[in-house]
Amino acid sequence: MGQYSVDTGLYRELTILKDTFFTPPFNVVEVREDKSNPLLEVMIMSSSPGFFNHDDYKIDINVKKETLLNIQTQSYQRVYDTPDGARQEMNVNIEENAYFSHLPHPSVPHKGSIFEGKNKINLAANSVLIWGEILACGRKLNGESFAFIKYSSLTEVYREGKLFYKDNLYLKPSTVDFKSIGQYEEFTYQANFVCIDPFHSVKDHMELMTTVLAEEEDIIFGVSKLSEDACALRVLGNSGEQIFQALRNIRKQLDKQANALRKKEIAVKLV
Amino acid sequence: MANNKQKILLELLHISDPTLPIGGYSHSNGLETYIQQNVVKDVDSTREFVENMLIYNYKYNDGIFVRDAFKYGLENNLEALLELDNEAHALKAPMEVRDGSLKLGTRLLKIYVRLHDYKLMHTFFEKVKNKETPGHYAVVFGMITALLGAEIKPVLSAFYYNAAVNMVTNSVKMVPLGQMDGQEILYKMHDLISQVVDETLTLDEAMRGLCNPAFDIRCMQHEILYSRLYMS
Repeated sequence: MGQYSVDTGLYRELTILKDTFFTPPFNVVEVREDKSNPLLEVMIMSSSPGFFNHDDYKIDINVKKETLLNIQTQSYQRVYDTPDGARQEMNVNIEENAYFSHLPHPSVPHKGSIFEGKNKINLAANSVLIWGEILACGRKLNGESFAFIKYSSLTEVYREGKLFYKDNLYLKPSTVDFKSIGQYEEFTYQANFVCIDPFHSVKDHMELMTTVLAEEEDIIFGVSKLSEDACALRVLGNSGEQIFQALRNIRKQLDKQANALRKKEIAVKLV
Repeated sequence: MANNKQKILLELLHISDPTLPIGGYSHSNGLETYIQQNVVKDVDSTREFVENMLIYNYKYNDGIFVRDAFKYGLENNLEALLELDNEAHALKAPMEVRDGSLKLGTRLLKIYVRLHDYKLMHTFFEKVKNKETPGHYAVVFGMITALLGAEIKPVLSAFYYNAAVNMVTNSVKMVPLGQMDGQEILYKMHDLISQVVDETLTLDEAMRGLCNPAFDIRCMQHEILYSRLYMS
């Protein structure tokens, strides 16, 4: 079983990697370029090209009080022919006044793959979550559209212990006609993006998402308010790279806002 | 016994009547977007829309909540009903779909609290009024029909039939289709409704709340359509 964990801490108001544990194939590396940024950016490196049969990954992220964390992935997450299945479980705890953003590269389930993912995210009061997920239909260019056996990814977000957002991506191509109305229609990639942020206006976030995605061609998308401080975005398109770049652009802008807000708070504290 | 069966039939006809003043006819759940985008445009595409809504969306996002609320209604289990109601809320990402379901649920409760004094329903209604629970239509429908003494299969049939009537009526008006075309689509939906009812009772729990990406997107896009006749 591969696993990794990331625990943040605060050192002179900047978020640091306080504790990390990983087993092969993982490695956790700090990639923050501007060392004066409060936001800690880490990349999960992996020596494995993807999920193989029986792979079972466990991920634990603890974003401590008043820390800011972004976790990036290195490359597309491939799920190979996995007749008995592959699994991944990710648990995230975001404490009071903490920030966590995560937009992994698109998942690509190959022919014959079975994948089950579970994400459980706990938010304290006044904590921020920026979370995205992109799924490909498979290796489209190799003629493998929807040739996987099953792909499921269940995401549950709790705020102060109460279920706030639930998303059940569950695809079993043998039972669904993905080309039909309501499913993928003429598209081959789907993406979900959710943003829970009590520190900025939800309207501004929705405008940002709309502005970025309106530039893109050959996609359809919708943005909607989940509550007074949260919104969700759904996208269908035909290029994983295009959707990933657009969502990464949004994620980077939100990271930047979080950095700026924290720098302002630090400046006030120092006065 | 025959009298009781007849009474229950009338109860189900009443609660699933599309003209019940809870506003079901004012919600299109993304259909208006599909029609404006010329995706739903004739008899065949309307049939595909209604079928897919029932098989992939209503079953996993509403029917399953009717089924579970019915069970908890029979068990008089308020805590489980509240948790279910919260789960229904967490799953509905498009705002208009979520708000529409809340409006229908609250209005249905308002009608039935005047007609019956079931303690469970009144307590649930108080919690909706006090904003302690959202009050989603499917949960309220399941709870009330359980309290009325109905059986689950007719309850689910009535629920899906009501949904199908609303979708077909809206299509006849908006696509537009002929009245006879609409009736033919609806009548031919009977076997599918029976199938969806059976599937609701045996479905794989892992598919609970299944995401329907293109349906969700069209519901979200409805919020910014230039001209809108419907609330969702």
